[in-house]
Amino acid sequence: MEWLLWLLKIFMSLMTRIQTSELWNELWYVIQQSFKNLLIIIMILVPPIWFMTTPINTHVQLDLVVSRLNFRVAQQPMELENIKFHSVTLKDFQQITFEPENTSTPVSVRSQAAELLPSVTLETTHPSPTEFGILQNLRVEPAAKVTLSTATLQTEHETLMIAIEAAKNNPVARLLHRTAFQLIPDHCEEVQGVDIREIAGLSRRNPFLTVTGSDHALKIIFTTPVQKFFPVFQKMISAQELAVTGSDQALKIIFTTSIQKSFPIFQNTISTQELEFLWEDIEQGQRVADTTLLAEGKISYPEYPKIEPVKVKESSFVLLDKTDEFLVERMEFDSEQHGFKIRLSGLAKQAVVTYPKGFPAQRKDHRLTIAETLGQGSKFVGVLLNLLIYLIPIVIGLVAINKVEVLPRQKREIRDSVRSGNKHEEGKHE
Amino acid sequence: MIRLILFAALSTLFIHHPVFAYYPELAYQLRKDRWEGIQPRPVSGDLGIELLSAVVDYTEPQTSFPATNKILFYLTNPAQIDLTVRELSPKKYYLLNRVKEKETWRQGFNPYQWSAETVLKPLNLKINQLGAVARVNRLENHPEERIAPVVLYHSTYPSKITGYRFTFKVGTDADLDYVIYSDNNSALLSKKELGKRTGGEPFVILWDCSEAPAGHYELVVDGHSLRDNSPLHQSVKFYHQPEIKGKF
Repeated sequence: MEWLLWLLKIFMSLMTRIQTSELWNELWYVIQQSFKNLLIIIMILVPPIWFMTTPINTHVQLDLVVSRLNFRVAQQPMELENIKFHSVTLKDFQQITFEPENTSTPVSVRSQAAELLPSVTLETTHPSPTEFGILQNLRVEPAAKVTLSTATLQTEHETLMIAIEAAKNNPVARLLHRTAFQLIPDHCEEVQGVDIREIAGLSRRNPFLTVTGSDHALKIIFTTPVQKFFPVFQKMISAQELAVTGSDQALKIIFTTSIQKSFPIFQNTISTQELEFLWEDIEQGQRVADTTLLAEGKISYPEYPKIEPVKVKESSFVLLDKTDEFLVERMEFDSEQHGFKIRLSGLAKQAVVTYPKGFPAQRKDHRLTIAETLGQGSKFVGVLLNLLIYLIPIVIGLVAINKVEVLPRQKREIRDSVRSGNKHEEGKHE
Repeated sequence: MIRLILFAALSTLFIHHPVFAYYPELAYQLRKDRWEGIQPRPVSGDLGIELLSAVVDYTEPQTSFPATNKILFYLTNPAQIDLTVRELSPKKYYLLNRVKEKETWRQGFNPYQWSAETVLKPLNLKINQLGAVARVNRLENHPEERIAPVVLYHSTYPSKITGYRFTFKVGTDADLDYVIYSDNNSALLSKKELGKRTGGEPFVILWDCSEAPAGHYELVVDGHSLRDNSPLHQSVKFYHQPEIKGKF
């Protein structure tokens, strides 16, 4: 306690000395000069720092596993991969046409009024690893809105849902079925003269079902056979043998695929916009948005392989700007994770945002900055930048010391010498 | 100036968030005597059978958007009603409920109408895309429902009721069937297997009641979950009043 009082006494006596002497004026001058210089330094540094640290258009690649995703097809039409199924439910369709075995007349199953929510389910009669149907072709036109999601979990099958809302034409899907299957219509117009419920097989000449969507939409829910991975979309369009026609603007198809650990969904790269990995929800009466990420993902930078990829936790939100276009390079259904394994790449002109669930204030834009990219191209630029990073503060510091410390001292010395010179002259005169 | 900066910052934050990427005037909110608008997407937590709509099988042709949509339902006794109108196959997540017009609705036919221009027209939702359910003396979904079937129309209602459309949704993949009983003499009027139903996907049970006399009826949907074989059950009791008399 005593030493504290002793320190206080020293401080007080120092302050009294400062106030009574010229030291106070000098100190005030130094403070003013320091702030002035600091302001100048900040003004000089802010524009280049802002320029160097503002995110720029960045080519990003995202590897994610999601249970649901929505997107709009940007430019090129996309093709669904050949997907095996043990059962498939078609919704939002207008009509289904096919040619049963041993008949030459095509059969057409038409949906009743939309308010009855008509649907048709195709079930393989003896489902096995070798007996299944195939979604041979589903073409999605540009500007169509696509929703892919996994449905309820089952032990023996995976259920996937693909819903398409087309901008212009009604979507058309084509299903191939070589073995016997049951066709279960719900709120469809009766087909006269043919028992459409038990189909022994489709004609060899035309073994396809054609489904036409309704109202520019089509929804497919399918149960897939057991396979570890399978693709979802393909590039080539196959011949028009069996097709499903959606109702006006819409078609909803539900597949039950037998268990395959993973299968691709698209074969070609698809250009997309308005990508979302969101599921809106209510928790305790409050509206919340939930993420559909199922596993840790990553954001990498193909143009700068030396930059460490950013890890995205499975509880995080990933938000892409609606106007940015991304290529879906790969999309597989992974039955181990019960979700879609996707690889997206594209030039992010707007923010690529992630934030942990429940903490929107921790939003982070993962585009690169000039500061991060400059050193990545050549070693020379990298070394130069590193040198500059160390040199700039040193130079600024030296200039500041010079302005605050050296120049005022020189001025003071000159002033003192002028004063002492004057006094000399006054003495001489006396 | 500070206010302006704060406003700009908050607007940017909120407008760019996908959750807010719709017109706020269409959001679910109190509108005169009802709550109406776009609701968040529903939670798929309930694995049971849910009654989404119970309406008279009557579809009025709609060429242009009407100014109002109307509802008519019959009560055998004065009762409190929980009225809900929603999309049958949710795409825009429209919901109307918590109608505050009356505490108790009277015996006989009760009319209700609401503007179709504020929310339905901007969303381009036609009357045939909507379903409605009027729960009697109960405010939430229950395995034993008591409802008043609803006539959904915009200009002319039918003079005779010849059928009902019941829309359900099951939370998990399930194998279901249904029966319809007459409560007057406990007679079984209709029985049908619905087969496998996909979880989360709504389906319709259509009952042709053109021969059925006025009285109490019960629709029972039974089955089991394909996930864990747990039993599923939903009963809907209602009064069938075949003729609509009077002006509403």
